[in-house]
Amino acid sequence: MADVNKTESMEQAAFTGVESVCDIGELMSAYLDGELRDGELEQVVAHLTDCLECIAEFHELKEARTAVRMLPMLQVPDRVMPAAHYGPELSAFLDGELTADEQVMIVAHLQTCTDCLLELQDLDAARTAVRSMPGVEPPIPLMPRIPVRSQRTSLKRLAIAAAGFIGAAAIAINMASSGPEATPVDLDEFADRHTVRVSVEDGLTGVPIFMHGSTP
Amino acid sequence: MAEDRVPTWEDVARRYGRKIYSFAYRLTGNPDDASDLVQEVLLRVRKGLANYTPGSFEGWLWRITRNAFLDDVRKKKRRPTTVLPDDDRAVVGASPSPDEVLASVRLSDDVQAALLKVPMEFRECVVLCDVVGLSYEEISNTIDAPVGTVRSRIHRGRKQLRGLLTWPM
Amino acid sequence: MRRVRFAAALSAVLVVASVAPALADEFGELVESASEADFAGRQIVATFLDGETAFEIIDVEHAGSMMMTGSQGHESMIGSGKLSGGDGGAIAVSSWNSSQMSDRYEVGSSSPVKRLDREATAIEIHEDGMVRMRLVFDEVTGAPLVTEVFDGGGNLFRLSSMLEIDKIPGRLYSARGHYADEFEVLVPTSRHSLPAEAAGYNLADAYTGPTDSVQGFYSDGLFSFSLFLVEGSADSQRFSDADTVEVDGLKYRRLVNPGEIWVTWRANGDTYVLVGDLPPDHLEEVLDQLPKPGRRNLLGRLWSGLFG
Repeated sequence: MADVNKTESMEQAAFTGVESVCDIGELMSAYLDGELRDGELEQVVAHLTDCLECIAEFHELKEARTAVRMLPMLQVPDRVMPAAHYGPELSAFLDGELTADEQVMIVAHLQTCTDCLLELQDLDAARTAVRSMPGVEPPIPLMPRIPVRSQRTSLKRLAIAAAGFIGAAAIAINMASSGPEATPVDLDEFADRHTVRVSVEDGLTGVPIFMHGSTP
Repeated sequence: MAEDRVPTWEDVARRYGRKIYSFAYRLTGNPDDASDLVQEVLLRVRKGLANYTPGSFEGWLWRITRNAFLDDVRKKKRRPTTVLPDDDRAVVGASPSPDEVLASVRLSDDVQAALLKVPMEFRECVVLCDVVGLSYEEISNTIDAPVGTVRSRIHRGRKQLRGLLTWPM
Repeated sequence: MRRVRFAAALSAVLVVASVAPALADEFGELVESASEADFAGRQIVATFLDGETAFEIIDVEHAGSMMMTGSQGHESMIGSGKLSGGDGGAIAVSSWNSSQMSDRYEVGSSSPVKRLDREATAIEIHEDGMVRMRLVFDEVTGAPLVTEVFDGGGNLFRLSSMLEIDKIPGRLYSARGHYADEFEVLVPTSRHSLPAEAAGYNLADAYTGPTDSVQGFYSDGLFSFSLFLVEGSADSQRFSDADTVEVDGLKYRRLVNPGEIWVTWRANGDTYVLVGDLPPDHLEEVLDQLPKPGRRNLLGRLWSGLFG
């Protein structure tokens, strides 16, 4: 497009099509398109009744117009359009139940489908909400075996629960084994310290990642 | 589309996807470029809808489309275009005979090839008028040029096109 | 000292140190142009581990050596060894040793691909004849479009992929306000008892950390982790949500994040916290060579005695 202005005259010179001999010229295209202004219609009609060359040109313009209008409307390739949506697969994606290929396919789909992206975020929020519901299982730090995935309970609350269960003897043992109280550490700060050090790795480039759970 | 309602971008994709694609394909003759353009336009529409105030939606959409197209042209410095057969991308009327399909494909290939030889400035106006179906005034808003210029470009584009079409109609 | 907390903390999944030249001229070039790429977009980062998926979708901008990420209104900026958050916290590193890419990795040849309908170059990194990482770099911007990391069994472990990409980073240029004036600086230290190497990961630097801790930064030139050693007993409420996992019969608490894994355990009366992007099989090997959690303590025995 950038080169159109300077080449317009050249193209006119090289142009091999019909030449207009009368000055009603472009009115004929506007006539075909019903785009004439007041008074122009009479001008065109009057001219066309006695100018054979313009009648011929008029027909040729009409042919060109028809040729383009007859061009079929094209179908957009599937990959471009928002495709059929993934429903159950999104849950499976979150639950890690898809194969590597399927996971990649879902992500590829998310690249073009806002619907599925939003649904995925909703599903994830719903899952998190369910997991956040208070549970009744024993506190994780005291649980020797089973991963407790669905619990999200504060240490303080757990400490109270544990005290209720175990009683003074357990507390005494706890003090003997690990001191009076665990120092609270800030994992976010740890992660930030790691991140800032990673950022200066030699020849490094980084794909930035929002760290899950880094919000307060 | 109701003028007083802001559509979702999926609405836009459904309603205008084919037109945008056809617009781009007729201008470039390149299915990849046309696909790129549809994606880019939908992206810009999605971003732009937040700030869109109900009004002439089509005018807004085609300005976005044209700007995206111009950006793409600038970026790619317009590699030589090739004409591919429309074949399966063409949407032909209900149950046409094989001969009709073939004839339609051949004809449209010829027209497409001829279109690509018409200078871009004229081609753009012809396509907006005859493929997209915009009025002169809408085209004028889209390409940001006076209606008189639009009228002149459409006329000259058609004249050149007819000269390039070799078959009798 | 101001407590640093970034609502939108940054990390890196693609960590590429100086690459052995014979292996990887092209790879080095791709990485270099990625580090200088200008782009803006949205990215999904997902980690798949033990039947769980952790993912996050973030806005990303990269211009020059600066990178900005944002999600849910929280923004962070990183570059030139400085990390700062929109809420004023800031941290910097001013002294470090470089790492070499481990010779256990082999860089494969590149191939042209299309991603996001863009021309791109794909390249694989192999380890022991298995693909460990697959990267796709955008032809136009140089940006890394896709990074896939595989576990020891060849399963996809982490995936980060641009969902949209634009040429022009816009916000970054108008976001100087995010850059803090004062930074908490990582101070190098030689007074530590951290191991010099663990399962192919070398200790590059040690810094004094917060809460009487020491931070050891380990890298194999492709993945990296920091090991924090905190004296005595330490804990974070974050770990109340953690899985308990067994490695070689020993128990660790583990949090899986989209871009990183956090692991904590107690050993020799101290607390260890590991933060890193290493794949799970590497993680197990590393844990196996670091100080190990003691046998089940008295409380644990009492607990199982009481409740089975």
